[in-house]
Amino acid sequence: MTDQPDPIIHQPVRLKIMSALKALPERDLLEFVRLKALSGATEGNLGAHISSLEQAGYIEVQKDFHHNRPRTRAKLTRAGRRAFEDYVAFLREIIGEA
Amino acid sequence: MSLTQAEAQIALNDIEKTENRAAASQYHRVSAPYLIMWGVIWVIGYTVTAAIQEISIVWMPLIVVGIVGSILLARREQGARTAEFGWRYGASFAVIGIFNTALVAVMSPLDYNQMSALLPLAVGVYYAFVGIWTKAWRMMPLGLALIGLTTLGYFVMPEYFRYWMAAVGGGGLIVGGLWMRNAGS
Repeated sequence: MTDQPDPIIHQPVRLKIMSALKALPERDLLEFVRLKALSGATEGNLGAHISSLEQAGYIEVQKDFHHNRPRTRAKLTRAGRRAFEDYVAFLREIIGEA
Repeated sequence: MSLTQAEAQIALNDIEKTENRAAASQYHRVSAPYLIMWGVIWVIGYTVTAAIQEISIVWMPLIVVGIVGSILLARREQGARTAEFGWRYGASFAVIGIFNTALVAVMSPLDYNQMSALLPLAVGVYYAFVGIWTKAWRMMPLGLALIGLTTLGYFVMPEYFRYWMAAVGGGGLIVGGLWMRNAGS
């Protein structure tokens, strides 16, 4: 266990993105529009944070067409899931739950 | 960068809140197409039976369409847990169908309105339980509304009961499905 929180996850919008994706089964993808609603971020802001998480290898982004409309969806990678669990364990340790 | 206990607790609360909202949104999204499809089936079934006063001829093919449609909807889901939810949803409807058939057999003879009220009441109970036991909390008010409106129509307007069920039963499921579909978006 490190004594510092993961700087990639330790940001309010990115934390909400990771939390929302973590709530889904491993193979499930969450649509951009739902992530926007759940995170409360603006479209541009959300795109930037998604890029950061994707570059870190924590999420995987898939773009396709659904009913003739472009669709962007994301899911947690295995590394992302592990990093998130470590982050939660880090928080629990601070409040003395670990 | 160090965190205080209060900051860590706030972050954990945020995580829990977002996870719950995401899970509810996903369950509602999965439920929506089933509700809309069954709502359309109810509208057709109750309207036609109100007109021709014959239950089995109309409902049998509609139920088959509903079951096949439910299976196709379940197969469309890619995720493991949501697909499982879909299958459970379909299987639960099968149980309700069996329960309803058994109830009719045990309580016969039933008049047309009693027969027409049984299934919506059973489905209403099922939806309410789904809402209580899963993250799809919107199913609970939908189920209770279905029970309440079915009972109200049965006693208040018996002569128009099937039209009532087509409108508030079938229509209610469709509106409920649209409400679920828009959850979290």
